[in-house]
Amino acid sequence: MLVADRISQGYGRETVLKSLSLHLRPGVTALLGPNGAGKTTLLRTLATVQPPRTGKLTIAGKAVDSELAARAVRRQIGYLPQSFPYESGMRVCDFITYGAWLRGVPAGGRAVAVADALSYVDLSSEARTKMGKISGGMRQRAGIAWAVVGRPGLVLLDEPTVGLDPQQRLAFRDLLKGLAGATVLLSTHLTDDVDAACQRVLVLNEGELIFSGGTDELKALAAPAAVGHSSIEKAYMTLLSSTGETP
Amino acid sequence: MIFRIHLRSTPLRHAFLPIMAVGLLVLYNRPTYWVGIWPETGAAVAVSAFFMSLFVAGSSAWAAARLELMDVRALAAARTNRRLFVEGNLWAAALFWLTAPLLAVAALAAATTAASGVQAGFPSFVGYGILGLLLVWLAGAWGWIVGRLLEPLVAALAAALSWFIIGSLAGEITGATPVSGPPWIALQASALVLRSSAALLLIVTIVALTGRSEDQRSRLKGAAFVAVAALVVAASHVALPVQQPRSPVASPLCVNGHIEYCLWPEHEKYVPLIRQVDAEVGAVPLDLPLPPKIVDYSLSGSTQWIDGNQVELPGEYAPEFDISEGSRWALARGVAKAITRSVLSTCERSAAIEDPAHHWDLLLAWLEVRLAGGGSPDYTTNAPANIQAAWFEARRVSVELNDAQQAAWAVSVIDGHQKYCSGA
Repeated sequence: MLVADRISQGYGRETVLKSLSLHLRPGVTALLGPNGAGKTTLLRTLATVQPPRTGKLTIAGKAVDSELAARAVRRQIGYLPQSFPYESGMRVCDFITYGAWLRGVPAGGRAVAVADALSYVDLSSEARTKMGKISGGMRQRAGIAWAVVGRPGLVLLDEPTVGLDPQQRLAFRDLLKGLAGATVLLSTHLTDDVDAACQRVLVLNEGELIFSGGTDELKALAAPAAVGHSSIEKAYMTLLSSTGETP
Repeated sequence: MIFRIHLRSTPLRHAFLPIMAVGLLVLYNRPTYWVGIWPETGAAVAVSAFFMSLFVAGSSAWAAARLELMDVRALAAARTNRRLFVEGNLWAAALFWLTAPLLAVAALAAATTAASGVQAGFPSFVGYGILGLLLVWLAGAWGWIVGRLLEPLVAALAAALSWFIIGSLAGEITGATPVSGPPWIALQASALVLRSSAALLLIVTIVALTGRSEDQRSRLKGAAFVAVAALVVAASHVALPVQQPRSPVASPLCVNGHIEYCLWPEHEKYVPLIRQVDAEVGAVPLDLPLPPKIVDYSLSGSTQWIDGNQVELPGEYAPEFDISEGSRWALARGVAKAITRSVLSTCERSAAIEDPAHHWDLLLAWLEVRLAGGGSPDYTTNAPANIQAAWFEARRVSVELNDAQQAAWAVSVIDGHQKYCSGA
């Protein structure tokens, strides 16, 4: 679904992603990494918000090498930025409709797509409530509905579970399971979520991909003496310590 | 659909009522002489628009700064639509809520004047309305630019304050902020079209360049484009004057009484006032030679504007009066002047000024106070003290003496003037 070939990215003179290559397939892939590793920049780049400085990005078999090409593939991309902005006076259904419009969901099918997305995140009853009036958990679900409206093939979620309570996080994992068939990249700090909901893992550190593989492969890297409560946490710490990083 | 979503969710919708309240306060809290005169009604709307535009600039800056702060465009970045279309919808909704208060104020003002039944001058109302609209749009564009650079609250204050300075300084020079709309001033359609086109260019430029790219080079390029569009707006405002003196109309509105009074058709509402003053002309207790005709300001054709200068033309023209703000005292003074000139034709006004007894001013002030229906003038003056003393004396005569005594007093004044002029 998505192939990044030696892409680099940065801001001004600062390089954030260094010649990074990856291949995303259908299923849920977790993106782990310490703060400042470049996770948000990677997601923005894959979402075609920011064109890579160098390298090649291919989505759904099409090279994303121009704004026109980017606009064409964005129909396939559902992207939810971290702490996404919203107008508090906007109704939940309008928020999702706006997302559908931006994604190019045809006007004729938009109402159905919005109803489908709201139903998927169990927010149908709050469709006409204003964004500023719903709880933080509901707002996060509205964000996910924004990302999945129109059933895009590629879903990029930047730390969607931040601010959710344990019960809401469990519900979120169930939501992820409902995205079967789509290619999902989930940026997170929570290794429990990775273990419970992800089939593959990418570990990013200082703009470089230091691990790419299955969840079980990551677990296998855990050193017995590593710090951590779960095997994924231990493996993650082992990986970082091997690169000299302390998260 | 998306426009409607923005329309009902943009926080600028909350600015509608306060901005409209400002407009209505300005419109109805000042002298309402504009009611019943279409060009004056339009100018009154334009005056309201100036005060409303301060709040429009502030609101627009606050909204733009808030969008920047919230990074709303991050959410819309992964879009399939053209950026211009996405931003255009956002902007159109903002512009709707910033423009709607002015349209509401204009509609109320129009309804107020329409109730009087006067029809002449409606196109001028539309012209002044367009000037007001441009002011609001440019204020909105200015606010949007300021809002992209500063924090919301600071941006709102900075935009409103800077717009007040820009509007006050440039508005008067360019005629963008008219304070009145007398019928002898015509708005130039070509200037309105040019200004509207330039304003639209600026708005489209801002919309097209907003959120274009995050890199410094693109931002600088965008700023340069906006600066060029702003220069085009400035040039359009100085290239053509929007207000020009108007030639006298071929068919003025004339009222026949003891004198024939001719008005600009837009001044139809003053006909009853003219009749009141004319009744007082008939009640003057002395048979005076009256001028056959007297006309509204600038309707005689005695002056012409050449290269921006008012030039007196040679020849005989009907005397003029000024009734532009509906003042009976101004009308009475104009008619009194014409009658005085007709009565005291033995020497020119310039020579009569030297008269130590001020016979001219005595007769003028006596006629003025009688035509005005008594009382005190509604104007202030910085005339020399001896002339003011003559006026005061004439007003005293009008109050303290009966008609027969006033007639005798007036005859003595006229005689005194003629003796002075003949050198006796």
